[in-house]
Amino acid sequence: MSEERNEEIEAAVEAAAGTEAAPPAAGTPALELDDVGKRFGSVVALRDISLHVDPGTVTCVLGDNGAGKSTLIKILSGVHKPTSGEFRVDGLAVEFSSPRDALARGIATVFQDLATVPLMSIWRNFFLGNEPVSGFRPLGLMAVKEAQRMTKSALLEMGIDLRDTNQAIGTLSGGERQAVAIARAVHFGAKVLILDEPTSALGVRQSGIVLKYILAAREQGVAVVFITHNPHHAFMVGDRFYLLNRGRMIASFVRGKVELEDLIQAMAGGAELESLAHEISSIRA
Amino acid sequence: MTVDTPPRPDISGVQRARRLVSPALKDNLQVYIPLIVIIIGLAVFTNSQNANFLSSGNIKQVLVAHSVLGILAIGQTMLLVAGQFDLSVGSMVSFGAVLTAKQLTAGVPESMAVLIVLLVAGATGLVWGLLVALIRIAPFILTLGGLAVFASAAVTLSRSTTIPIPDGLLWLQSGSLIGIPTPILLWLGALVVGGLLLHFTRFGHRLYAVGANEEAAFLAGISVVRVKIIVFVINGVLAGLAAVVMAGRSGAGDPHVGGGLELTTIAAIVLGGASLAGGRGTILGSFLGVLVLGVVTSSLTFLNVPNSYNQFVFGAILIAAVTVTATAELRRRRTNAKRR
Repeated sequence: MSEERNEEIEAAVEAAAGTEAAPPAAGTPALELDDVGKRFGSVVALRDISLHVDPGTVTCVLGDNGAGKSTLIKILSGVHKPTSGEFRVDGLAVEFSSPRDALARGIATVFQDLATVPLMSIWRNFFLGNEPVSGFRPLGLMAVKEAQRMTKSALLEMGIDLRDTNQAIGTLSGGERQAVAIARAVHFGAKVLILDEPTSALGVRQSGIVLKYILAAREQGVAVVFITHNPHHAFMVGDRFYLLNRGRMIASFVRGKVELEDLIQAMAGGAELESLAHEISSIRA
Repeated sequence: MTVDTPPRPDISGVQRARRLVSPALKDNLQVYIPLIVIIIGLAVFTNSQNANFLSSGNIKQVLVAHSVLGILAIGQTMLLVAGQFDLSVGSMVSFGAVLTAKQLTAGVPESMAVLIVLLVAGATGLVWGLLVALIRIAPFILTLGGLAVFASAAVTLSRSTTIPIPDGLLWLQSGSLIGIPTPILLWLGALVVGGLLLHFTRFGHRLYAVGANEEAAFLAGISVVRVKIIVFVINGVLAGLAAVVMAGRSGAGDPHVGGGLELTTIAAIVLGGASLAGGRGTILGSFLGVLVLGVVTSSLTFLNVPNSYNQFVFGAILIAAVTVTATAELRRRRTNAKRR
């Protein structure tokens, strides 16, 4: 991928982000964690995590492998229950016992590998868990034509133009699959959209597409939680940044008051990166 | 997504026509067409050797003989689609047939006897479903245990002898409607209901999702537990129906009559395009799989080939079919990999 290409995408993303990137809004956050911790037996996965996510903003959670990102996502999406602290949605304390509960409160999560069922068609994936039925309800007859039409129009609304929603979603590229999953969450009225490493398996161009959809979701007033280990991607779209390291929240920044270099430094733990740079240069010399 | 793919070159009429056949249907036709060719080819060949083969009498006879298998295949297909299976259905057929005969000889009214068999089989399915869904026992081991339990129960209950049903269930034994024997009608009815359920309802849609990717289905908010329990119950009730048909058709409760049916059923279903890994399979495909078995069995009889070759020929067709499917899948994956 050429350098120009890279810049081009960056420029497009910047333009889409707009200059007046919404400052974290006043009012009730869509989602809040207050000193949340999670232990698995004697293993402490997360400790004293506090964060808040406002509607119409992109909140980035950055962390290296093993920082506790996956555990955090699973708490937010209702897979795990926190062992301490409080989890609030729209200002009210909640306790989820399954992803259904989280979905019912408008929290939709797009998991990295489990966002879609590859064997099933695009429209079937789009309506997974929300299948439209027609006729006598208890029979649960699927409104297939209607579902296909709705899938096509909902995807178009997000700027995704697919020829045939009847093809298996496994035939789409990774970026397209993520895009469909994002469109699905937005279509079914997600107030909070959690994205688990949506760009990690993607090339530069595909990543750019996904970042564009993140901003498209933000434009629609959705609170986006973007979980990533890539500070470059986070910096392009984020309004607020949280840094996780070894199960703790080590820093937080707000857009406009932080440089990309600061994020990279903070993520790598500053000194660690410098010593690494030293080591590498000594190997190369 | 237009951003993502370069503009497509103009496509020919043939390609355009191909696109009209949706990918899902195309995948299914790849399974159906060879099976239909086998069924018709073998039937025409055998008929050329013995013109009685395609007589309505023989066609009815073959269908009646395979109605039990066909009914079992419907429930088992739904299980396989959801990534589950039930090995206990064969011995449930034995047990249910014995239970039917026992009740009828003891003077229990026919409708009551049938209802009790359906309830027992459905409740067994419920137990399997609860154990599989809630405490995550592997269905293979669990239902293998069930197979042993009901095989033994059938022998014990019948005191190891075949119990004749002198004058019960005659509507099953010799009854018919507009010339179609009752067992075939029940099979067709179950096919229609099963086909509607699996292919046109929300529940069927969720069976595929759970079978193809249970974790993703759960995260999408589908109650995987409920789906699994319901499908085991449906399969149980169908096994009960199969047992009643078996008892009525043969006019007796034979404690060994269902032995091995579970594996024959699964073989026919896999021939019909289902995968033991879940997420694949259709009611029509499984129906064709059962028909292949029926035509092979009957043809060999008509061609005076010893009975012992039945399983051999069917097994060879099954092995050939899965080999062809696996090869096609491998080729498709390679071309997909190249395209990326």
